[in-house]
Amino acid sequence: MSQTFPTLKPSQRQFTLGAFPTKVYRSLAGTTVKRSYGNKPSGFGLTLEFSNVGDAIVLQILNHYNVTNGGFSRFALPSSIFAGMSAALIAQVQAPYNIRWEYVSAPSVQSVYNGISTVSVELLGELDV
Amino acid sequence: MTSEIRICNFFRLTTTAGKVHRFQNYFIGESKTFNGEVYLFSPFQADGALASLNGDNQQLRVLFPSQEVSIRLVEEGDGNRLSVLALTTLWTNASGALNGAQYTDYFVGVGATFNEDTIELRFRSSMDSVGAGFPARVLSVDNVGILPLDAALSLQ
Repeated sequence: MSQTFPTLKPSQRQFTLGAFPTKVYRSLAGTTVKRSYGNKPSGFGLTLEFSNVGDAIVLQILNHYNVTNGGFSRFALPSSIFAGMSAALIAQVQAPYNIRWEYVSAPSVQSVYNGISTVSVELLGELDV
Repeated sequence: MTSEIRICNFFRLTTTAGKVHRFQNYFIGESKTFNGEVYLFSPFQADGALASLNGDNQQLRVLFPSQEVSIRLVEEGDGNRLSVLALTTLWTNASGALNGAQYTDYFVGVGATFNEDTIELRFRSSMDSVGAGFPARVLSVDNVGILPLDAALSLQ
């Protein structure tokens, strides 16, 4: 069973909207025909950075990566990840279309000082049907 | 100039045991009522020929991911042998209305193939042998060659 991401507030956050499944046929004459293959977008992106955090927080993130089988199991994100956004905007980015999140790659940990690190996390939001 | 099309496939399979499976592949995560029946979402794709001039049954392939519903569909359906597929192709619009142009083709199941992440259901078109060149004739070696053991006839 997947576990919700730790309740943390990131230092930096970058969100990318998902794309609708379409394919374009372009004729020699230059006209195009677009075909839609579904009515919901997928492939949302979220990059988080937790700057200068203590080892306990780093451990929380690494443990979460492991218990979600390193990108295999999907999970939900707590509202704290989107701290600073309005409720309406959080509704658009936290779980649009009931997507769930997964790790794109393992979290990256950069040591800054004794017991202090910066952790980068890259997540992918996909439709869960 | 751009044309925008939205096509949904409605998959209605009746196995030899009489069990009916209904899926649609456009409205993600939704159940859609079509012709009075509920179709669940499944991300399948269908490709292949619908008919040919020679009357030899053409093959259609329906590809499902190896998820529980599709594995059950094959295992409980005698490996897709002699199942009956009604595949409806329907044009919808941005609001998801199901009243656009639609075409239904019928196929007979001839088998299935598993691999680690997909399940391929194979069908042959069921109506090809009934055509202008095939009226009220008796099958013989002269006009169809040696009779095959499956549904694939080839006019000589």
